Amino acid sequence: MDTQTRKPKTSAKRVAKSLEAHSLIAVIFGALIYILAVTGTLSVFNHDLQRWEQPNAPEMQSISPNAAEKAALAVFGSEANPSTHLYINFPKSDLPRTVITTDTQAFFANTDGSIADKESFPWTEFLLDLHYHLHMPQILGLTVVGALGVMLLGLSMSGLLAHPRIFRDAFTFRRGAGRLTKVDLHNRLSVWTLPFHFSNALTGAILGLASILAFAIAAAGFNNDTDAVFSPVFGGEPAIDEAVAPVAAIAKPLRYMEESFPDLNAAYFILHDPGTAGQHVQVIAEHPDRLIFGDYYNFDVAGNYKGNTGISDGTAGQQITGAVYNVHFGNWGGLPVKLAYLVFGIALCTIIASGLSIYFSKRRSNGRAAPRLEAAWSAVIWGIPAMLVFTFAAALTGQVAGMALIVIFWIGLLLAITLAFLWSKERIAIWGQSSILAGLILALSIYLGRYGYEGLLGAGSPLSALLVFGLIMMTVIISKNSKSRQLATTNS
Amino acid sequence: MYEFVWPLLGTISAVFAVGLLYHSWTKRSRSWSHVLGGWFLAVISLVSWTQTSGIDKGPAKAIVAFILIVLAVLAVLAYRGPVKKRRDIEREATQVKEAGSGFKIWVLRGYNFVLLLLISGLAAMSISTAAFMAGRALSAEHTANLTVSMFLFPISWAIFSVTTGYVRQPLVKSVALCVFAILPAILIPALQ
Repeated sequence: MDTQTRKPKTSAKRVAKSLEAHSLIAVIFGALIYILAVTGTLSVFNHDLQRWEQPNAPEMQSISPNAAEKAALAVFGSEANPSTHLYINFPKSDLPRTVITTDTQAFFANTDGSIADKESFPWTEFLLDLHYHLHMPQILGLTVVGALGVMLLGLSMSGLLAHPRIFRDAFTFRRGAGRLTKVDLHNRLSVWTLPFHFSNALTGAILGLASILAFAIAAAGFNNDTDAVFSPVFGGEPAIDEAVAPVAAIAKPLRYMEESFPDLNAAYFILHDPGTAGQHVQVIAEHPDRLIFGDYYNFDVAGNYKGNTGISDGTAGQQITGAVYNVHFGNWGGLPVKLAYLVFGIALCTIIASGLSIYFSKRRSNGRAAPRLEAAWSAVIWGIPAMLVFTFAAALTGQVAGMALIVIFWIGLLLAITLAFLWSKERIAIWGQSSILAGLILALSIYLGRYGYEGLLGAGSPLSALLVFGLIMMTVIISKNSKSRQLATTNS
Repeated sequence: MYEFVWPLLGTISAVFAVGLLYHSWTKRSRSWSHVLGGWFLAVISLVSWTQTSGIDKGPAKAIVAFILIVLAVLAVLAYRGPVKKRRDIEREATQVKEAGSGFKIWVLRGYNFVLLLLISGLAAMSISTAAFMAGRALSAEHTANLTVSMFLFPISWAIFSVTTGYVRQPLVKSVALCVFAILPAILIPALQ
């Protein structure tokens, strides 16, 4: 037989090499991408989480312009040092609260404009910081997270290249077939949820890498002025004039928005450099029919309308850039879209978890078993949600916040991975699953003890329902795994 | 008053689109009428969802609805599928020793890490910055030009990363990536 006929087919070689690329990226970056997938799935509910963490805050469907102005001026007046920004966050359907924010503090406002409690949602802040920056310094963290988005994009591309039977296998699912079941689960979910995880990885990478790209472009063509790169998209800032001046009109622009744009929802009022001669006003209004996060509506100091920036009706570039944030975070279609993102997010976590399980399984089949690495992967899969649940419970006590939560999370995860050098992957999985269940029960108990049934069923009821659903799911998973173990023991 | 009509039509046509496509998939011989019918209904669903919101949000809703329906079908298939006893393809571990823990493997992994994350990233940044400057030199509209660069940066980085894993010769991929990183950077001053 000649050597020509023994050569593997070109397509088989392509698949093998694509799989190599796929596993190389997954092995190196899998754990960090998994952290982003889990935290990203939870971050979709960040407004509900904020509400759940502080159920006693005053709630309202709307606030009058005069009351908003009164509250904003009261908070601004209480500042020890001049704040460079003054924000009013208006009530939204998933967060029906008014919050006045400065550079250093944030307070809830009552409907009459009086000031209520200080805003405090330590666990949601911890979660968002983990998703945005992996708890690293701002720009560095954003860039690393953006780079991980790129790696997820690379995984999608190499996965597609490694899948020549994409149409023939479109609905194939072999049940109870060991590794083949895992392969089918991984491939079917990856292919059918591709529009979601591709767009999510891409928008996440764009958001994360925007800063360093702006640095590069500014260095190349704008004398290192990064503002000049983005100002044609988001609007520029006027020259700073720090001379003292009366605070700009707040109620008048809000009234103008209500009267002139009744179809839009004012989401934020921003007063830049308040109380200075260079101050200027912007209102970010959401467009309910669009994917964009909103548009900036600009006003002068006296509250006279000066026009919008153009995110909603400007150039194609402005409109596309304006949609990136919402596409990534899934906050463009209310609760139905958020629940869909939850399903897709869980699918993405499953894809990542099953992908590396397949890799380790293949290694075992090829006689290159890596039991310690496999157990470490199991520690990552179950340890990350377990530590998130424990930090959640710790934060709910009201005694643990900020850096303490970060330390608990990373040390706990490190301990779980260390255990992988002593325990089997099965034992790690059992401990991880039991810890998640125990953590959820603990969190719900602490919450119930602190806020009672009123808190559980009141403001935070959507999230309470989700947590109870998580509790039931974990119980089902644990009891199912326990039954399969018992069956395996009996058979053996 | 009839706000629910378009989402309802969009959902129903998406359900039937997935149903027809699944039906054609289960047939042994190719059934073009089912395939075309399935895609036709998918388009009807897309158009219906587009009527519910703006030009960008409507299609996004259609995609979300379509994926959810397919996932539901997959869940049903996974639940109802027969469990067939198969040959256990997972052989006994012939060697429990940690494979790939050798020094050479870890050095290679470290090298690939540098190529994937740093050199590929630098090459992508260099290309997207040069692309922006080229667009500017050709008087392209600023926001469109910037948007193209913002999308080009992660996509080209991902392509370089996949290529890094795909190509087996370390020298070839290293040299190629360095050329992609350096060449556009050299061209940038000429585009200013």
